[in-house]
Amino acid sequence: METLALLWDGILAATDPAIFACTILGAVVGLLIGALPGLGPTAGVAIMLPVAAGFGGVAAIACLGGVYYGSMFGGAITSILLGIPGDAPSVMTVIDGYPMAQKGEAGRALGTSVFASFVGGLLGIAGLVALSVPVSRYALAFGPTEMTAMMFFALSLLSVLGGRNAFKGFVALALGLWLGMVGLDPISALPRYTGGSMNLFDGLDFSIVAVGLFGLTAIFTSLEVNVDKPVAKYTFASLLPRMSDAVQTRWQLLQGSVLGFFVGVLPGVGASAATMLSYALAKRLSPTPEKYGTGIVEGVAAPEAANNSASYGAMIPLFTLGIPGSATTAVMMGGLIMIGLQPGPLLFTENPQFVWSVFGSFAIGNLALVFLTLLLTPLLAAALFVPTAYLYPIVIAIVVYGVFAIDNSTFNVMLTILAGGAGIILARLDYPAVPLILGLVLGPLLERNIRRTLIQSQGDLLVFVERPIALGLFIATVLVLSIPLFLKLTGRKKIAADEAEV
Amino acid sequence: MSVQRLDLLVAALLTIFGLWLVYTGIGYGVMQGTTPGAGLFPIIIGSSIALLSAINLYRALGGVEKLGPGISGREAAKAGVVIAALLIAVWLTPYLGMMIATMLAMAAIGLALRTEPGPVFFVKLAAVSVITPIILLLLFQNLLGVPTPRGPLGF
Repeated sequence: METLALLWDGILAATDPAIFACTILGAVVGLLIGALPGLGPTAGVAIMLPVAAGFGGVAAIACLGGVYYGSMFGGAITSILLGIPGDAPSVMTVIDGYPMAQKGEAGRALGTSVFASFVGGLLGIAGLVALSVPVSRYALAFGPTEMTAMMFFALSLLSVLGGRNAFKGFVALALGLWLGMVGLDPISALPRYTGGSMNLFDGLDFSIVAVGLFGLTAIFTSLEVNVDKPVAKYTFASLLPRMSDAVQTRWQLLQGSVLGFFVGVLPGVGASAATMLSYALAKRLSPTPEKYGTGIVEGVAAPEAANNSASYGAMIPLFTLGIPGSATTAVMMGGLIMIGLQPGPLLFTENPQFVWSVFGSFAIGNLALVFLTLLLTPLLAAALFVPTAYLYPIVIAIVVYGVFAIDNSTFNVMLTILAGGAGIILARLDYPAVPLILGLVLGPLLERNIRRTLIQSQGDLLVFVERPIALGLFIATVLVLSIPLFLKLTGRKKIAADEAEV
Repeated sequence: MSVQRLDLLVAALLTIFGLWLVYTGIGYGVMQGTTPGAGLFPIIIGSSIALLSAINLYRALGGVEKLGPGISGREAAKAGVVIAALLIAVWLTPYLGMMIATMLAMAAIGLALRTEPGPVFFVKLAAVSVITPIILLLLFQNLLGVPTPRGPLGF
């Protein structure tokens, strides 16, 4: 009851006009980003990060959160109307959504996707609210040893699951950890890898690298994307969700939401895998699995509920442990740090009003998106046909001004552009960007924790396995590291992870 | 350059880079008594990069690594023009001001991505390239208080 009361207070706080306006702005931008082929939630949050940080406080994170879950709503629009996924998590929506559109049921498919996204979002928020408090309370007992073990576990999971080649995943992680070392050494104050540049003495601001690596790279690798397919016909009235469809898809909505949420919590797995698992489960449990793929509402409801629910699940490690489990939440972590907050268990005890207001804004944004999506679908469908020659210069200009505003530095703008260029090479060669960015985020924390622990223990390495939680996490890390070997021995393949969500 | 050859080259460069990190790490100092020095982490990270990249190099040489067809020449050229336009704009910013430099970069990027024939495209692109930086200047400078670099014309 106490949690519900806190959430209610948060919802009331999030109705503040400034916070509400930022939530809606983020949701609309997210809808547009999600609908545009080539750009996904990570790129959207990265592009908006410098702008949103300027809003400060709850409004900044409400805006970024709006972009994140808004893009989950928007991704279905192109999947259904054009058969082109707007982003990776909406790939599964194409399978039944587009055939429905071809059968003249585009409006019904869109209505179902909106309703499923809303239900997934609602259950995801419920899970986020229910689990955040106990997890953060438990995490308060974590010392540097447990946090080190937790970071090892999260980073190994991300590197193993983040791409097709685990070796490249670990190289990307190591490169991120190295980038995190650039600047003054936190203990001896010795400058490392700065090349003598004063601009680098404070280290690399990971939000600057993230904007380049996710925002600009997504743009640079989709310069040739121009929509030339006809949009399926629909009427505004047909977009409205039907009660009969809601009843018909109730089990798929529930399965998708629950599965999506728990898959979303796992670092490195993400919304794309959640939608695939959810679709596969819905098909397996269906008495008529042969109908999946022919254009049925159940095939739209299951993945759409899962991807929205997963987006809230992914926020649990970020808010409670300060360890982002995906690229999008890593960029959101950048937003938290930029407004002067360190995500983690202390956030709940030191800034409870902030946390609950942010969660409240999520609830408001999720509800608002039902109406926004229905109202803006015609506009978003039209926006798909704006040539990249007009659209991308505008987006790039926003990125340039936004990055400059972080530190009033053109040096940072240059770093972002170079990170965007490097991102093209990484993407083409299958080096996943997610471990790299998380290495950059968590590297300095990891190094500080390990060195402080070793100083306290006078160099005794056994200190890391003396405490049961740390030992358990290190054992789990070893198990995770053996996943590629297990998959090879059993001849199984991994499900595409969050990397594709960029 | 084919994507396979690029993979090979990057793996080789990363192997060398990893070894360089180990070398610099030794220079920073590994341990001072029982206290880990500033070079401990670079050595661990550098040796990891060198070892894993050597494995990737071996896989690339043996054709184990299956990569997609890679970026087409046309795509690479477009991305190159966009990146070059942006870097030039950053270089010009102290001389022309952020607004003018952004206008020029936007026009160059729009031209590189041009798909529509005819003069209407130029009019639309000019409008987009002029109006967007003005709106951004008003938003960032006047509303958010960001001191954007000004050029000789005062904006």
